[in-house]
Amino acid sequence: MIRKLRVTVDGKPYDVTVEMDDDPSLSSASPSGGSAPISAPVAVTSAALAAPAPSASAAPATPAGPGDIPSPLAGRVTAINVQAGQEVKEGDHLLTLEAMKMNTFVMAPRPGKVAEVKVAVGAAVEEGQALVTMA
Amino acid sequence: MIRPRPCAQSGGRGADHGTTPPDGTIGTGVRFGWEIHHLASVGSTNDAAAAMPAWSAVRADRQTGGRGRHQRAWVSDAGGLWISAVVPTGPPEKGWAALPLAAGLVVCETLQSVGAAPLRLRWPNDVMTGTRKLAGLLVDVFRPGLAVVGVGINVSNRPDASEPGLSGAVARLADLVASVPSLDELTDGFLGRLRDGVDVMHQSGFSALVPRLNRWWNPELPIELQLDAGEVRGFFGGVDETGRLRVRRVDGRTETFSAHEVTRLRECD
Repeated sequence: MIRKLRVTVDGKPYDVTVEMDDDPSLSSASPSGGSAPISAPVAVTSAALAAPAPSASAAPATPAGPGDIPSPLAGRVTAINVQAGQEVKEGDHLLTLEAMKMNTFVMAPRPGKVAEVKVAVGAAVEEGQALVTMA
Repeated sequence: MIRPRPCAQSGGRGADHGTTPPDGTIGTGVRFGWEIHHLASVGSTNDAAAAMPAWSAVRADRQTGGRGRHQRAWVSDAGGLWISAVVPTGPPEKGWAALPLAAGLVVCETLQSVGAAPLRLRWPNDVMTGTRKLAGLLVDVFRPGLAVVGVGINVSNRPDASEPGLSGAVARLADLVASVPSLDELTDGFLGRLRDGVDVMHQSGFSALVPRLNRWWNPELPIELQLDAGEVRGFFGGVDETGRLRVRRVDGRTETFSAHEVTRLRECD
């Protein structure tokens, strides 16, 4: 069976075609929109194969890069407590995500200044998507 | 039957017993590896448990600021079970994003064990009898790695007396069973099963709970999903092994949707 998945490695999304057989293995993979093969050590486990593919209806995900705080799970943004330019302390509550009546608080991992809030209240976000960029 | 189980038998993941009880505590006990703080009244049991270690629980006779989804008020009058339990979560590949579904299963099985019937789940985790809501859940992840599972069960309280607008929309356990269990008995049943369910998720992942969970939906009920991109109608086909919703369309196809794609699920008459 052939399945198409998107995996994110070091913040970069790859569209992956996976052929599943007795020993599921990666048959081909390329960066989104490109054709170069993956050379990064991507472990595609059976759990990863079962992971939900990104939603077509969700907002285009901005993969997390340096300074970005990634979303810990797929959900909707229900509250944003900070704005660009704001100084935060480690553990400050930056924003809240919700999915299936589970609210997940996203905290500042370190002290610093918020450079950019990359999502809006009501937006659907994917796991790993950049939420906030710290300066 | 829930068996007493000391913390040492759970790989050392027992409660860090000795937590300073919250203000207003009228009793603290250790049951099945949980440290349970009993309060007469509290704003929200989830908020009271927010800073507690794993395997702690807060139960209150009343909540003055009980919360539901989207900060809606949850009527929490005396006679119901209002309890929040802190559980350790695990890596994403174990399916922890589906914890609210697992918690709904735990509440259903707890209520079934005391004879409540008929019961069913309404996605994601409302516990219903017919079209009336008997119990509800709200999970808060205030800190990475720890989830607070808050549950409200109408037992012998009368939420529609406190809030007339709830008339016809709520149910209570006392009207479903011949012998009403004590709140202590329900607390033990819920916490014991929650611990077992969390252990299954740690060991095998959420997918191991899906066959048990999928027995509790009503597959014959027509539903309408509201998505950002529009509406989808069909019949609820339970959840897949990752917790995605399965919807049977009238043409026989089954489609799956991630929870966060769905802004609302409406049950159609």
